[in-house]
Amino acid sequence: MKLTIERKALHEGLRKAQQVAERRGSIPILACARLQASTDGRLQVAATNMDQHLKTSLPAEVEAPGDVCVNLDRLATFAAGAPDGSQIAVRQGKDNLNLNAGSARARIATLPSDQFPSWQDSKAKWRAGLRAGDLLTALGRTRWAESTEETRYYLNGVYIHRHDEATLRFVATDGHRVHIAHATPDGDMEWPDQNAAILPRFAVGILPKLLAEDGAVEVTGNESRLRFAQDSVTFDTRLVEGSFPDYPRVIPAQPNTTVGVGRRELLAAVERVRPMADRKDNSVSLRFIFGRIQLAAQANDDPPSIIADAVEADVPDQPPPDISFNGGYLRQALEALEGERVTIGLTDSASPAIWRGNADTHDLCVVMPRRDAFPELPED
Amino acid sequence: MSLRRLPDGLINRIAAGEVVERPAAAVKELVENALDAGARQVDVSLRDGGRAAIVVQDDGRGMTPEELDLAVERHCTSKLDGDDLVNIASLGFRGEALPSIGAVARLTVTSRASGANEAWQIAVEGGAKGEPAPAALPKGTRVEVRDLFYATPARLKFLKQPRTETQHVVDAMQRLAMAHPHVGFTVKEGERTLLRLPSADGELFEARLTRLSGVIGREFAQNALAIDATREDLRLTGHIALPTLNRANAQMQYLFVNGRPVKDRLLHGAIRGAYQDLLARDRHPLVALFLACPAAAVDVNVHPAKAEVRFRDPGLVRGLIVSACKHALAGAGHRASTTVGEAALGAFQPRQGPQAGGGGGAGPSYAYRPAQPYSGGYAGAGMAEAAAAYHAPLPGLDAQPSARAEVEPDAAAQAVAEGAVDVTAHPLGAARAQLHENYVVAQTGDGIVIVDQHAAHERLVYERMKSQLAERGVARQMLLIPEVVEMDEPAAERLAARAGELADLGLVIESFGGGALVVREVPALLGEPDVQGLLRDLADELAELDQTLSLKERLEEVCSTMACHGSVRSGRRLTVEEMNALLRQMEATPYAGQCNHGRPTYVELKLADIEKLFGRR
Ligand SMILES: Nc1ncnc2c1ncn2[C@@H]1O[C@H](COP(=O)(O)OP(=O)(O)OP(=O)(O)O)[C@@H](O)[C@H]1O
Ligand SMILES: [Mg+2]
Repeated sequence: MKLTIERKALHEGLRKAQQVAERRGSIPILACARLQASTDGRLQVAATNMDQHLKTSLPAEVEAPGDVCVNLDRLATFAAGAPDGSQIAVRQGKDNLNLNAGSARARIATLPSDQFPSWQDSKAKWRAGLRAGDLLTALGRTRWAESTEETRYYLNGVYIHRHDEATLRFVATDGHRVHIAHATPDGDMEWPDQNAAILPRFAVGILPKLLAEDGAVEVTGNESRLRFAQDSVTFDTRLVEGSFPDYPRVIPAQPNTTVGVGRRELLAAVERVRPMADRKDNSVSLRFIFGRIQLAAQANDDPPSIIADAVEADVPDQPPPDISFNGGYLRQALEALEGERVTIGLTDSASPAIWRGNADTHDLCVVMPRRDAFPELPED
Repeated sequence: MSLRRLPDGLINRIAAGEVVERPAAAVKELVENALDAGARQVDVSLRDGGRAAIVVQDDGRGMTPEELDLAVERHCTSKLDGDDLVNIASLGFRGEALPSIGAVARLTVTSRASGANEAWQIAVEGGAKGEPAPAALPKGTRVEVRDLFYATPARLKFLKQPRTETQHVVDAMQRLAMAHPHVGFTVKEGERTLLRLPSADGELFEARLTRLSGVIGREFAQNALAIDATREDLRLTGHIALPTLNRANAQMQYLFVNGRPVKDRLLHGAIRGAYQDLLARDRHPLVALFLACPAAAVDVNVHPAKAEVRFRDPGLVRGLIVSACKHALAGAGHRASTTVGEAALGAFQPRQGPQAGGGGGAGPSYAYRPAQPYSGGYAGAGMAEAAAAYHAPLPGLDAQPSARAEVEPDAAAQAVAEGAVDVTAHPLGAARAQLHENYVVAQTGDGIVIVDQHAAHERLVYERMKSQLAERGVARQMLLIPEVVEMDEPAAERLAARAGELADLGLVIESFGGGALVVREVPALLGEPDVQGLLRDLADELAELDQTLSLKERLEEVCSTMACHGSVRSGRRLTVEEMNALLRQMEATPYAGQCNHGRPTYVELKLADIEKLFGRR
């Protein structure tokens, strides 16, 4: 292999590969990038952790083709440090790679390319073309609710299924709440409406670092894998095996009452009282009175310390009973929703609350309350 | 083969297999007989780990020749007077021990009934009984067992090394000895004395503590809390050690029921419950508890070697143990183990210090020696060292140079500015200085106290959180998607039966039938717990210990990490007022003497010991 490549392009390509490679593991080859130079002027950089696989294709001036593996972090150190705007000359030796850029030079040990785990492409049965920004927004809104508890591995990710002819639905739940977001593909899509993909948490976490917000992304796959392709980047991931719970069952069809409130105002109020609650306990209680929602949180002192605040709200004549939530869940729901106002669908203090934004997305969060009494308020 | 009635000799040998499974079992039976006969001194000697010979001699009431003749017959006992097994007050009751031993060994019993003028002897060899013949013995009974298991070679093969068998004998003797402090015991193997426990005088508690320190080690007595509690017709007495004196296993936990040493899971579970959150999960306290109950409340006839008993109401017994221990531990308040102080003093000791040259007397008296187990206390060897190693001296005390505390100028100034607090008015004394920004040094009436401010404050915060948790109840997060956990049916039923208790701790479950449980609410403090794992642990605990500890433990774990974050860091300068406030809070808070893992929050050095360091005593 002999080639020259622009420092910036190599640096960015390696940064993406670093997201995927198993850099701190015990298997040296998984900390490597596979470099493949072809005479058509491309350098392909691949990295894998066995569950995910990334390929990015970079423009290069290739004098002699080649195929070799090299430790990603070492190569990235050189690429990061080489002078801005410089060209990096790469020449493959017997068991190393020689690098030159301006005054910097390096020799990095290589491993033979046949040691690199192969990633078999599999047949694509599902297909949807999305704007990358829409995909990332939908993932960003739902991922708050992903479960981190490994024994319920089938909740450790975002479930992506077809909601209706035109929309894909993104769902995550930890069993305490459900976040649901939507995205509309460009053109036709082929996607199952059930038993669809559970995108693992790791993939959800790194996709924003692999894809550019603007531009399209083509999502293809089947029951076991998905591929996200954008320009020169191809990212493959295995899916979480197992079936996602039948979440619509737990969403009350007809809540008893609805309360409307300014989203940012409520969020700000939650953030004003929440720090008082004991960190792990984190309860925020809501009381609905005519024209406003009263919020309170308490710390377990003796006697308990209490903070209370209120925001204006549209509360029906028959106000719903007091209800308490994990304050963190409230914040995350309010941040995930869009629009000036949110509506809260309530039944009673032991039933799920449905939170919706008034923007024309159909996104919603369903949050199960806490069994916790409304604190005794300080006197006015 | 045709169906037939077995000959007596064979029956006895089969029974013997259960009653005497090893030399230690034979010794135990013989010593129990001596105790039943009212002996005040029991001497045991062994040869070859008891395999070649076991001799047990007592000064009890002895037997007449007629009684001797009957004693070695099967099912002959003087200890059951009625027709049932309900009221058993003696250690023996079956009339099985002597004939069993006689069936598998060469047995000679020599005895002189109290008041009689002569002694008699009877021999049994491999089940064949001889005639009583006159013999010489000043008093009591002497039982000689030779060639144990010679009649059952198969059993012989299963015996371990003599050393191991001897150890088992010593263990068994220690247990019996703990229950009978007023009786003196010796155990010899050949010429070596393995155990010598002189009969202890005084009232029961005092005598017992003397005996316990003889068996378990001196530091037990120094760190023991006395237990005396009654519930209905049960009375629990005994001693338990402060949490700071602990072991890596539960072997040093003894339970006696009506003077009979028993092994019981119930004890270990109850003890774990009582010390929960005072000790790390893998550390075990030392306890010796004596339960006295009406003979009818306990069935002793459930184990061939009588090593287990069954209580009519195990819940009552467990409750009594847990509450009595908790009560004693809470009462101990801030008291930490002296072992800690001794380990610290041990560290001051010059490694190869100059010998007190020519001072006369027995060896250097100025250098403090950590507690040695009673020299005859066989099992105790190495214990003090182990304890010292576990309670690693506090940083700053382990190396000699830094033991010379560098009093910082302003700390010294503070020390001068004291005077507000009366030294003798408080157990933890008056704060004098803060060293290395973490250790508060206080002067007490008869010594000094060094407090680890971070550990101490952490414990205070933790205790406060715990009491609030108990007051306000555990906040529960309801589950949007209830979790279904499949387990085997008995396990699920066990859990469902305790649903109320679990709900109080924030875990709401419901039985689905067929081994399935639905979890509807979880303790909010735990965030997103591994519900399956939690339920499995709880089900196991219910089966083993009949308690639901792991949920409490998990909650308390969260409290203790929060406590750690919310407490005074080491490295923070404290004013004298702050230091004294800390000491007063420690005195007022239960369990303040150790952190959540059984490490001490302070050490106390007695003036007397300090003076010894300087050769003043
Ligand atoms: N050391 C002794 N001093 C006085 N009497 C004894 C002594 N050892 C045995 N005996 C008498 O011999 C009897 C039989 O003893 P043995 O140990 O076989 O049965 P036990 O003690 O009655 O019941 P168990 O089989 O439960 O031990 C006793 O009941 C007791 O009367
Ligand atoms: Mg007996």
